[in-house]
Amino acid sequence: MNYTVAIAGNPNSGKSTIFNALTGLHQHIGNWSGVTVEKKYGEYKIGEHIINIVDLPGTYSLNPKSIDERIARDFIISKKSDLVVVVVNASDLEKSLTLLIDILEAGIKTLVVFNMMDMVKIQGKTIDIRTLEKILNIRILKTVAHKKIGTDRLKLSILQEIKTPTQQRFKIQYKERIETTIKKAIKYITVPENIGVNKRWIFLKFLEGENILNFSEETLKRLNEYKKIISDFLHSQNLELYFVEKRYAYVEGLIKETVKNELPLEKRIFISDRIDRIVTNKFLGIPIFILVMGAMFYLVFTIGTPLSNLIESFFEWISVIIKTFLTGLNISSIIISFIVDGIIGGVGSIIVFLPNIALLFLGIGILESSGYMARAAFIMDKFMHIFGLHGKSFIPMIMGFGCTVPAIMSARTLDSEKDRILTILVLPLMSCSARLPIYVLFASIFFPHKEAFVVLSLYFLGIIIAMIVARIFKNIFFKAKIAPLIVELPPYRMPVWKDIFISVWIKSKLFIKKAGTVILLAAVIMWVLASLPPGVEYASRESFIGKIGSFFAPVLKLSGFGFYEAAVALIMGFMAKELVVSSLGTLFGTTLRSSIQTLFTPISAYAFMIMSLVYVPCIATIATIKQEAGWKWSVIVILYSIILGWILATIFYQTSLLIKTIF
Amino acid sequence: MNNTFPLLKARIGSQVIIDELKGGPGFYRRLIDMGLLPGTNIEIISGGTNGPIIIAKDGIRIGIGARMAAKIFVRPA
Repeated sequence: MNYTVAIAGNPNSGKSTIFNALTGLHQHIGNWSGVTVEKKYGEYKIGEHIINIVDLPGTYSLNPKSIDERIARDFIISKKSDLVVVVVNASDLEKSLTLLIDILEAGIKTLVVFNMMDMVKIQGKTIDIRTLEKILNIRILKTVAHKKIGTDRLKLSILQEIKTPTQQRFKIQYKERIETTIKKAIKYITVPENIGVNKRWIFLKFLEGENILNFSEETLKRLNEYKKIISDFLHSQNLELYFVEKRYAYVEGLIKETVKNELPLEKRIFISDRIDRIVTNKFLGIPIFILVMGAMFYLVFTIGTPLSNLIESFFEWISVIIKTFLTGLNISSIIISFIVDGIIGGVGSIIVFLPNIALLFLGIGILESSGYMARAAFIMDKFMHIFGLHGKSFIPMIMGFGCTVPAIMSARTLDSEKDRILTILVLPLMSCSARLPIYVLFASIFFPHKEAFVVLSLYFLGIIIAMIVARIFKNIFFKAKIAPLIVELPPYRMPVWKDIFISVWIKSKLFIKKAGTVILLAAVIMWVLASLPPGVEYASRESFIGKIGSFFAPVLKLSGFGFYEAAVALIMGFMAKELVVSSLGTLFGTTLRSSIQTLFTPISAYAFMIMSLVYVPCIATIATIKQEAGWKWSVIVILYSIILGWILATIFYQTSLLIKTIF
Repeated sequence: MNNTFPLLKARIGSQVIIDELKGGPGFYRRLIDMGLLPGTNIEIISGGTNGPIIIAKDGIRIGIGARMAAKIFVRPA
């Protein structure tokens, strides 16, 4: 049998770790239909049963405030799952239980997981799980997901729970007058086939201002009459607050009854707080942040570069072998050129950077998993305000170092639409991992032994430009106030290596897949254009590609790289930034490094890197911006980035030349 | 009560009780989501004195921006 299980819970409850523990490597990433919120799903096998797991976006309540939360709510109340596993952060019961009883009140079949039980111990608390199970009429499992404690039992319990027919009848008893009104009102409600919740809950949500079923005009009129009775009775217009507070009060009562504190509050100073006193200190916060980022990039290069060199030697070796082998077979030189220059040159030149990219994702993963990333938003809040951005804009910006596309999606965590669009507008200026190969290639040729420093300078340059652009756009388009910042900070902990490796693995796989598909295809097209018209010297000025490049090259002359190869590389970069390097690889073949060395100077190389950083983001990014913010903003991004990129590269090149001639 | 003051001015390490939330519905709702209702006992972990502030509420840590902290009024626990 096939079953579907949804995992719900607060952000930071350890939901993803539970998901990873259940599914291992059997997971997929897609989108929720119609929107671009990342959908993670996977499966595990138990006996002859297959359990499909859907990891819902983190949510604090079933009264959604963002698209993410709406998706989670809609999935929970639909009949799409056979069971909802609610992950409770046991070290933060109040918030988790409020969500849980909201779900229970709806009458949804649930299994509850109390995660982070180790933190409870550290906090000096004991939780009376048996009593909680009895009061709430649920089954609770204890786990420490990041140490894999209890996760095997969870796999079995999920199946058992699906097979046990239970009816969830939990409800909070409200005042007599409210209860009788509810009873009368729900007669007018019919719950459609595809919704798996009770009428009472639908009406309660209606009182809180959520018209989930899109009631007809007539029903709406009736229900509003009952709503008025209740608000008159409570002397309150804001019924949502009333019910939310009731749920909190109920949870507070539950906690009083079942949780015992063994240590007084003042003794509970965690190591985490000690770290926070230093790391988020007013004066030390930002310098420490810069240091952390520096250390990350230093490691990306000291470990990554030797590995890259190995891969590069491998490709050179295989090129020679294939070339000799094919020449021995008397195969025409065109086909040999196609295989060696076109395919191996194009794809090989980009695969070389896999170690750097994997290490970068590893670094970002560690920052995320250890709890430091959440602090970054907090540390940078004041700084970000100066430039008209929100503290929370900072996390998408760091994620932008990986790939701009998910970074744009993650900007959804910003509550205010204006803050969100402003963040999206500047996100392409964060150097994504596809731009890393450009930096590494040029830095290693022109600035040997100073690669990490040069590359880091480009990352910071990107941030600085983003800040300035944000400030300007803020003044032009979004003069509103920035939304207030409030973020939950998970305690620092040892990174969950399994989660990180899974994420690095999936992203590296995507990168290789891209190299084998999009980049391979582009390399083939490049090679064809470089070999035609017949008889022309490969990749010369007279070839098609040379002509296209030569057409644009004069524009780039002022920036220091007015030759057709650079123009071609930049044009290809619009498809995907990896193609900047791979098309140079296809054009120059095995003489990539020496050709670059003769065409560029250190100054023009740096100007080229600035250009690659700023000018137009790749097509995938543009498409995502269109989806998330509308076509108007994607056009604005294309225009400002091309113009700004060219201006900055030119200014840099010309002033550097000037300074050089003066001194 | 006269001994209330904005959370923004609270000293690191001190314990306070939330007294009043002086903001609009959006502001209120964000705080409710985090379980920060009037009467809640919190401890100041880091930051403060006009900057963003980290507070402890039982097992969890919450970072609050300066402008928000200016509108949360507290009294000594």
